[in-house]
Amino acid sequence: MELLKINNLQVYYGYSQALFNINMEVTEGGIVVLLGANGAGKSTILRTISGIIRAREGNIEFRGQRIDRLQPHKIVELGIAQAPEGRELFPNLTVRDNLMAGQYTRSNKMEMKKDWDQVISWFPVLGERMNQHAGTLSGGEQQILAISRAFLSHPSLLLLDEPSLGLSPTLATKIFGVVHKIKQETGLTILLAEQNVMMALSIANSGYVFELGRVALAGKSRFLLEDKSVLQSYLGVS
Amino acid sequence: MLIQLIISGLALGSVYALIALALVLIYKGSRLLNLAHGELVTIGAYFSLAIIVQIKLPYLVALFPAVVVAGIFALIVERIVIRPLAGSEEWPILIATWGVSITIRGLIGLIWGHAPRPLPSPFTSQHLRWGVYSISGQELVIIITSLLMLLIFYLFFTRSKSGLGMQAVADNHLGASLCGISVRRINALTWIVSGMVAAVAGITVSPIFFLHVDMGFGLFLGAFSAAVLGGFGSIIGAITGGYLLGVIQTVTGGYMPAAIKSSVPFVILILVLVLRPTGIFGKAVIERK
Repeated sequence: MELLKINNLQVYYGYSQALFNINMEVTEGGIVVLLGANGAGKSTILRTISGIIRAREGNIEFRGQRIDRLQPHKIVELGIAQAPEGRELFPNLTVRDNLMAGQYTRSNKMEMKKDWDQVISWFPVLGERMNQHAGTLSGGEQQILAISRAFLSHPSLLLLDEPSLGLSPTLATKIFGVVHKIKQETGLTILLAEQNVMMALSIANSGYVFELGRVALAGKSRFLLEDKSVLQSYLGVS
Repeated sequence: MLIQLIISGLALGSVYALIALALVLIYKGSRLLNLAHGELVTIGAYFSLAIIVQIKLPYLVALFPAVVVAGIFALIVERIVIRPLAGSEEWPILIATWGVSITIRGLIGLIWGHAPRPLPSPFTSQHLRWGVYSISGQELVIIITSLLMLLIFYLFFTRSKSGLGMQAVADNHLGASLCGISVRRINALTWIVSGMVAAVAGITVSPIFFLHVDMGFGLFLGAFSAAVLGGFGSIIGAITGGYLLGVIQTVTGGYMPAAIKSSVPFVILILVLVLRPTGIFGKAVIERK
């Protein structure tokens, strides 16, 4: 069964329509990638799923339950977490407080401790910077913190909005490694928005290609990778 | 003389510190300046008067129920005035809080009258002497109660889950929502806590100043200057600014004509805004329009 199902979604910013008639499915396990140029609608989809913006028409189902009228914090409680574009960390709070905020919705102390230790073993740099304010971290460290904070809410669906944005190619590769590792070790379902086509497809199982607010193409990563002409025309990859 | 004035200044400073803290909490949580903030101070004091006169509880015992009722009162203001305006521009909200201020003062006048009334406290007549210096019992009550309140607040803010929620919402609304924190619930909680902190200030200072419908407004203006002095938006700045302003004002009043004393907060407000708008602990914020 689908973990997430998006039916006929229409989203507007004021008078201008940002998403046209989007239909999408995310099945449990694996990484689904949303590809497309700037302004294609990738972030808008993720924001709508998290309840930050409201769809004008259509609906979103998570495990068969409609979530498109819920407040953002309710959607987190149901098991969808997002590391958003711009990271939206708490710059004046310590790394520890940022991570603790990630566990705000949880109460099982033992499981919380287990996930916490897991995050620190994945990213020892967070352990070293525990008492530092999040605003003083480097861009790559902030991205790792944003992903960790989202992971710590123990989601069954993790939304990542352009985690490589603004990072050097080396750091971007590292972040993709991180995403891949999370998927490998936890089997968590990840919906990833990216502009970095080749790298994203190399770790994703399937993908949707967005163009000007519409789904232009969808399929398995292998199919999207092989279809060079399609990639070229939509994404400018040579 | 100077040390004696500093001791008295710390009492006034404690009051400013509490009110400024409550003001900044609401500002950080909801991004609004609450012009009815002084009335939360006043209403707390009148609640304690009612409890002392009607139920005949001793002064220090009456403090607790009065503070709780003041917290609930602040929540009601948040629910019926502030929440419906969520998402609107800054100006309408500012004017609405001013409307709340006038309404509360009118209601207090209706219920308790416009004449100043004493708040009976057994500590006003007592004095603690130490060599040439002395401090009145009530001043001591103000200083100790404020320190306790600040300690309780500190523990709540840094050790409790709701405190973490408040810190998170103050730092980044969207980030907080995405962590599963209900920004609405935290804002309501912030009003309750602010109302309680403001009430403690009102209840402890009233035995010295008398209760009056406008008492809170005057203290609010002082506390606002204190918050600006400390760096508006900074919690530690609000507290530091409060103590500092209390001492500066009292010391100035001791050496200069009494009429000058009440203008000290405004002189300091103007000086800070001209010379160092970020205050002591504030950060420069450049806003793109």
